[in-house]
Amino acid sequence: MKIKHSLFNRREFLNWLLGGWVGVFVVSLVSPIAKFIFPPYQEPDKVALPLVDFKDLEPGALKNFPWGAKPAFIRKNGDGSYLAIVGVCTHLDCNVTYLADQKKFFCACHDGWYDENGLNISGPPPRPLRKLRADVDGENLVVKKEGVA
Amino acid sequence: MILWRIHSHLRRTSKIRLSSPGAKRRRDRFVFSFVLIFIISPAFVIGTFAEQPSPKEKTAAHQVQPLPQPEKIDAAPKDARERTAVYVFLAWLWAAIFVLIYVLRLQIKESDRLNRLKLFRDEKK
Amino acid sequence: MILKKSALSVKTWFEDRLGLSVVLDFMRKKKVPQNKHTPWSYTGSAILLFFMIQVITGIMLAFYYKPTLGEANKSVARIMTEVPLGWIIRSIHFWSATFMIAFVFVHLFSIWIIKSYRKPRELTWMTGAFLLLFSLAFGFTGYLLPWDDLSLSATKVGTDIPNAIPVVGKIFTKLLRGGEDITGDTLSRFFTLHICLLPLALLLILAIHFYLIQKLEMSLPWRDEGKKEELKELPFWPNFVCREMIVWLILFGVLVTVAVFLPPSLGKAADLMAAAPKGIKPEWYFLFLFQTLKIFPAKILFIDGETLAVLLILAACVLLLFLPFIDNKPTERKGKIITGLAFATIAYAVLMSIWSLLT
Repeated sequence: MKIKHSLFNRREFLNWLLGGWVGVFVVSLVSPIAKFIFPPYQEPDKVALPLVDFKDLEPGALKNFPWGAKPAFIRKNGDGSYLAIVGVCTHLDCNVTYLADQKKFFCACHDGWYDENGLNISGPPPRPLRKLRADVDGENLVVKKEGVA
Repeated sequence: MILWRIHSHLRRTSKIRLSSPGAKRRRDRFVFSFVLIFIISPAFVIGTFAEQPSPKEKTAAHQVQPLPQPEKIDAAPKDARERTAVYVFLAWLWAAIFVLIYVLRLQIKESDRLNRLKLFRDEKK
Repeated sequence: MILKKSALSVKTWFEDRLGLSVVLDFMRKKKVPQNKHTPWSYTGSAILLFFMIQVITGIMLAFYYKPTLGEANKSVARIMTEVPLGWIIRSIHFWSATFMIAFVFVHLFSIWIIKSYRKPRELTWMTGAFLLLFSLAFGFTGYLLPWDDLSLSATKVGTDIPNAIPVVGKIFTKLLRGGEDITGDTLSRFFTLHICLLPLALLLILAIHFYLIQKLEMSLPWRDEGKKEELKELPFWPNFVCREMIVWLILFGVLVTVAVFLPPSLGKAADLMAAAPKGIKPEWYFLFLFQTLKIFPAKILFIDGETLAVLLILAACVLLLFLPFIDNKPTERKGKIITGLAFATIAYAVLMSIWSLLT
């Protein structure tokens, strides 16, 4: 298709060329800045805890440990295995507490309740508490993310 | 190579009017390829920085003995990948700077030419 | 086609509400004279470039820096080792400070020598003198923030200097240190100065400086003043701005390259009780003052040597501030002497700095 006039003249082309390249230059600076401002996620792959701290737990009793920057609980089961639960409410990220007399987790922010296995039973929490894998490895109790080998 | 083509093209189009469809097509094709290159190139640069290092294994609960404080901490890239990324970025930076300086010089020539014309126009008035 | 039309309609929408086209019109009408002094007019905007880089990198560093006794050094170490590209951002901040102050000196001496401070630009010079003071204050306060042994010692010496001034000196030292001695409070104070007070003060004075430059237009060499024939001029936009952008791009490239290949290191955390480390030196822009203080003997007649030195330096600063009024006859012999003084000052500063580095 033949057109009578140029789509753009030399001046316009130069302006768009300059503007475009300045834009490219600025955009290429965004990536390193963004990498600085958003550092990599801090959650650990696994945490090794000394087994001595948890060996003498009564079945059904819970003990705290830090999972990266989040609080978490270890519970010794009746059969001697361990259950690890991340103690962060699935509603809006408040830290939960364990009420031993009721055998329930309670989130004070919006009255969220979880049972002793972390299943959400009452209140706004949409999902159960996150579970982690806890295995005995020699002298240590190794806590890992679920699904990770 | 590309820069030379743009340069010679601009010199040609400034003097003559593009009449033949073949010349128009050639111009449009090379404009398209030039635009494509400068749209793609930031993606290439961003790609060198896009990989996140994997989270390190951490041991908690144990009281870790604090390491003796080093006398001096030297600034340096963490590993070979980061070092390469930095050098690639530096090369890209200078390449972009030279391209921008070239385009700016074209713009300066054009603006100066316009400025001179305006001066003469005022005189005639 | 559609892109052009929509860009135009967006532009019109903003123009109807903000009316910012006056700015562009002003920039188009503003003329930059083309003469032998024009190259020096790039130094002012170079300072602005480096200041903007300082603000951006400074904000980024402040995301991770912790201004307390226990955490300051550790947080800078974390920026350098753990935060992605932290060492480059810190390096750019460090080098941009050097470049900015270097260009401030070049700008100051170029204006002094070509005497752009003649009527009606005296206030521009005076606001510029305050901008120099603020730039040096930025450098001084920023130097303490990594809290390593070198920076602590440099700050101890630097904040002790006002003590030499009779009557008011001690109050100023107490104000800077947050007490008699350097403590964690000093660090908080310097951090507040560096990221809050000084930026606000500098931006305020810069606004006045900038306004004066636009209002009074670019100065001409005194030989060209009042000439009847038309002088060579360039419109600010787009001609001069494009040239400025070239200068900015090269300066930016040089800055990043130097920052990548010569990043600053970090010493171990300062110990308030430890002896001063060997070879303490202030930053390069204070070296000539440091050496001046050193060469004065302990006592001259009945006056403390240090007091005399500090008072002399203060007097020189006041003279610098009022230079346009002192140089009221720039074309005569007095004016020539003052121009000669500019070169003498440059030579003095350079030689004293080299001497300080060698000893």
